[in-house]
Amino acid sequence: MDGIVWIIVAVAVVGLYVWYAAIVKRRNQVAEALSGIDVQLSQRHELIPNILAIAKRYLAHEQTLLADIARLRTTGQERLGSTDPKAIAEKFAAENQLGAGLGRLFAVAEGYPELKSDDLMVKAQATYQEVETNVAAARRFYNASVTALRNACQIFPGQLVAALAGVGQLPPFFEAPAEHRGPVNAADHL
Amino acid sequence: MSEPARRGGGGPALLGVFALAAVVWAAIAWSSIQRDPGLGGWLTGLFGGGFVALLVAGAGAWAVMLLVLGPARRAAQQEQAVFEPGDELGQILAELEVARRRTERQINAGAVWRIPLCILGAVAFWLWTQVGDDPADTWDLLMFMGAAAVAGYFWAAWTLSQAYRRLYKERVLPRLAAGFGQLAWRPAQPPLEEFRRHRLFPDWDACQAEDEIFGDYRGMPLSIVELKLTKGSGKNRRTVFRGLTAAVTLPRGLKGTTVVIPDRGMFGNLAERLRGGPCQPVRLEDPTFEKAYEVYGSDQISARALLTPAFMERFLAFAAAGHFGAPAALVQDNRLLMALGTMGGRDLFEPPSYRQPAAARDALTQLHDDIASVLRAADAVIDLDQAARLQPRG
Repeated sequence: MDGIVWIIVAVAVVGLYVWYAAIVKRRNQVAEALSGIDVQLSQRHELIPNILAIAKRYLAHEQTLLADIARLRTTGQERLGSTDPKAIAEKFAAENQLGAGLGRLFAVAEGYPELKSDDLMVKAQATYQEVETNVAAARRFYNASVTALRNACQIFPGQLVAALAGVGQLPPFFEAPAEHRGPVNAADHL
Repeated sequence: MSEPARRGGGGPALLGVFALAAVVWAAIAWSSIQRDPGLGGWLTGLFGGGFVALLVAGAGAWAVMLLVLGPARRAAQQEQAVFEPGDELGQILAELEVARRRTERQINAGAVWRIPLCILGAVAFWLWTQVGDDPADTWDLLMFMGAAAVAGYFWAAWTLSQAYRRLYKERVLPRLAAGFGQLAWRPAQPPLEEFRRHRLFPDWDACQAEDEIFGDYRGMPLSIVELKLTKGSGKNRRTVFRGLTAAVTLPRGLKGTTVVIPDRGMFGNLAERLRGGPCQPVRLEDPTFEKAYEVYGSDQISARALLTPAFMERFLAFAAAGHFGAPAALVQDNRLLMALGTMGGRDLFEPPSYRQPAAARDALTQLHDDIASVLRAADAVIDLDQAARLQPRG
């Protein structure tokens, strides 16, 4: 009888350890993914001054928009590297606003043929598309990592083990901007 | 051209054939008399042997006409024809036609003594069986002689025909490929070590890759290789992959390595993961894609930068279109290589035989169509990536 009890205890301990290890691994993966997002956002921030410099030459009537983008960039840059869940959520919100601002800028640029055909602007726009693709990829990796961590922490006995693993408040998702959430239809691309 | 040269050595060849027929007659007569020294044995030997000897003489004379006299007559007629090389391809084909005729003459000259030699060997073998416990009969002799004639012809033709085939590919395919843009042809150099290291294909131990179309296509460096991978030998040989690998360098800023392989079942995927390596599993959001493919990457973000939801949808649509089997992909930095398995079918880029004129219209059209078809595969691969789709078509 004693033997059975010890076996059950051993299995429970091993099970809890495996769960603990999984949570730690996923917590570290979230940190890695967050760092990946920061790298991509840094690239976005580095690109913005160049885009603004080119745009200023043509968009004399859009100074407010350009100033807004510059301000949002400064705000976003200050929040890079934050690990506190609340600060992370604010960073994501600021970055979404910045992304929307840049989207508006390129939409406005469509109305200025000279700006649209400027070689530097064409290159800057291509680079921006690449950077945005990478930001979206980093966001998908991060959200997948957060989902895995949340599953491990929220399914019983995850709540108990999460405290041992040092996971307090769970990190927020990085929601994609509304315009990026539409369904993909392969037929449109073939 | 002198009359003896025009006959192409047909006289000695015919004499050889008749001598061979006489040897066969004598061998059958001897064998028959050995078995039955009576009148029956003599009659069977004389008439049966005579009949077989007539068959040998008839077949031999036909072969001499086909192999020696016919080509010599055609060559004599064609030598009078004036070839007007209209362009570079015409000049190449004219040179190849000369090489083809030389090859044909050399093969026929070799066949004239190799075929009889092999047939004599077969007759000798048949005679040897006559002194044993289980002597071969007359039909066996005919069978041996037929097989020996075929073997003798292949002996004469194999090396020379392969050399002509290589020459034809080296001269004609680059010119045909150039007609599609900045493309050329070369003997294939598939990155087999990369395939093995990243386990793009199930285990294989033999590779056959002859042809590669390469160059700039739609503004991107392109390489297409016809590839066949097999495992095992003899009756246990099975084809692991047969089709094309199409590699393009995309206008992207991707990093690291990403491998996309068709799902290999629960145990296959588990074995793949246990093998380790620099690439880790990449979990993607598309459940259909996740079910159909396994993705491994050395950089999780770069893998997702390529495998966007749109790319995955197009990848699945491409696989479902049914032109190829389930594709696999190897991405190293910006270089996207897709392995597109074909369902059976013939080998591509096969030049015409040395028995056909070098400028045979059907063969040239087929080679042209082969290049066009592999470029359609390249288009499909390029179009998978949204950024590449925005490039101007070359």
